[in-house]
Amino acid sequence: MAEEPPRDLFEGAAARGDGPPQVSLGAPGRWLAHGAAAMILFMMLVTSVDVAGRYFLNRPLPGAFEFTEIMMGLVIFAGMPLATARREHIAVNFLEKALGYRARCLQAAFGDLVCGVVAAFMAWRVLLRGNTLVASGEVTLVLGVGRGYIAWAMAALLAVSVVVFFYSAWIALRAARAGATPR
Amino acid sequence: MSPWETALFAFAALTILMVIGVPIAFAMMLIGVGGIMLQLGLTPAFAMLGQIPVSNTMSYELSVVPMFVLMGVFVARAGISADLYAVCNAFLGHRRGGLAMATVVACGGFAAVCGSAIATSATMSKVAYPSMRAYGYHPGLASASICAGGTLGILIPPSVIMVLYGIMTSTNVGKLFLAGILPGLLAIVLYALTIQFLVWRDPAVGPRAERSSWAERSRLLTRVGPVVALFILIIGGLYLGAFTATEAAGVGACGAFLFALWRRALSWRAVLDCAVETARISATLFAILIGALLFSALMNFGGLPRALQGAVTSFGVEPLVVITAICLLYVVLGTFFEELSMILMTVPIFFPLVVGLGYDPIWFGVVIVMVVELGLISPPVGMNLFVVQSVLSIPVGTLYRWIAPFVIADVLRLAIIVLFPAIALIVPRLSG
Repeated sequence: MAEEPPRDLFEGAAARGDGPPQVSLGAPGRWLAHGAAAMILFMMLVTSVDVAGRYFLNRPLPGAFEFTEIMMGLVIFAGMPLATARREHIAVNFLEKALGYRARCLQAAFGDLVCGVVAAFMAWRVLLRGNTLVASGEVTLVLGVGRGYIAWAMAALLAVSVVVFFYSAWIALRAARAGATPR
Repeated sequence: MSPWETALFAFAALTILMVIGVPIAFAMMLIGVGGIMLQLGLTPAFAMLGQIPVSNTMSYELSVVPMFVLMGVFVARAGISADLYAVCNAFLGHRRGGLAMATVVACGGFAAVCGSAIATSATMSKVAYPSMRAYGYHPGLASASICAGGTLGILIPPSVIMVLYGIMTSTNVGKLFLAGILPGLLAIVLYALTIQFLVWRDPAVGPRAERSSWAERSRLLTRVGPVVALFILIIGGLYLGAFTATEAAGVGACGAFLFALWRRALSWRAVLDCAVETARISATLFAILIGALLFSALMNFGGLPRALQGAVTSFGVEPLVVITAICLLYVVLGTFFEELSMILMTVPIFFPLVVGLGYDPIWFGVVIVMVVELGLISPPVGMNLFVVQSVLSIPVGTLYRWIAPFVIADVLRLAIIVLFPAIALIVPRLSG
């Protein structure tokens, strides 16, 4: 292949190398990434098999619809801590050029803290939503998966994001204290 | 508080948070929930915070987002951009300015399967720029044609912005995609004419390359054949009503996966990377969607859409004036703000107004996407300008000067689509 594929579809400040430090999530991060990847690929397969089955064999895949719904809920919130650790959440950066490295790290830390608090509230409310759903015993039609349990999983994954946000803030604060650009 | 005050305070607070660097998605969540709390109290605010993230991710229809993102990631990984460019060159390169035109057409082709303006310009910068420079093209013309061509990524289907617009407004995503086709082709034609004009003014900026033989052309065509087939499968399926947009996305992702395998561009590691990247991009997109839904809930509770509609009706403003004003507002805002979130937080306010005036929701979606495209290449902060400039490291001044004619072409196209909505609407109306 002659050409280099783009590193990322949305290259943020982090990709330019002079932004606030990204966070490494180590082995747990890899497990999460592998889980998210598996779900994405499964969704792709299930949709394709479902469509092919419907048009060629006149037999759609039973439960494909629900499977996709469940995977969607999980994969979005599994991707959240991964995107957070790489500082990929879209932000307006027009102050960036005017700020020095230190100020940028402080700015990033502040953003992380705000996001962390918002995500924490959301995790809490999603957890309560899960409680309601579990109590009402609502299950999906074909696969019979309790919707409340999915919401619980989402809340747990959001909680992971909260941890990652606060950890990122800590790392950014440390970088601000250390001062000079890493390069 | 009156609707206007609520909106003013909310947007002011949001702007402050965004400027000090809080990620847009979470800034919108904070203002949305905080505002609802002040307006209606704690209970409804917290109830929405628990409900919206659950019900708007666990959705079959919304799987269209990660699947089209995955398709784009696979196609980008498969390394087709060089081949696409070679094909376009073989057909256009011998003309004056032909390589720049080939760039625009190749961008359109890449965009057709990729769906991201940034990825299209970043990829094409690496592929097309060296070749144009080798033939003596002016760096300004070369880079500007990449910037402009790159914006086609969000107009030519599939397009993430269109999907999110469709979700926010309950507009049929498949029809939105079909509506993007003719305006996309119009864009390519207008960009080509712009290049024609630039080389007519000064032939030295875009000299001719050698003519390719038909044998060479057909050899190159077969290399990109599968991608063209994939695009035709998706769009054809949507047109004939054989697929929903969601199914098309799943099939498209699978097709792109097989294509990348066929090109031997995928190791297991690479497949994993593509999928993880897709999960991350999807997470950021859904964070923005959740934020925008909470923010627009605040606007709705505050009553801004109704107040705006009332004001326009009572003053008897011409519909065309309203549309022009909205476009101008977007262009001005778009020079400062990130486009996707700008659209998502304002669409709930303007959509009822525009549809109330009798405009087609599908047409408005196309118009909005074109305004975003314009924002992507408008100095000083067009995102595509940043991307191309950082990949190619050319002087900003040169790029600004050479992008101007393309910006004019975009404004012209916007005017054409506003005055002749049929160009956008004919394909979706004819479809099954």
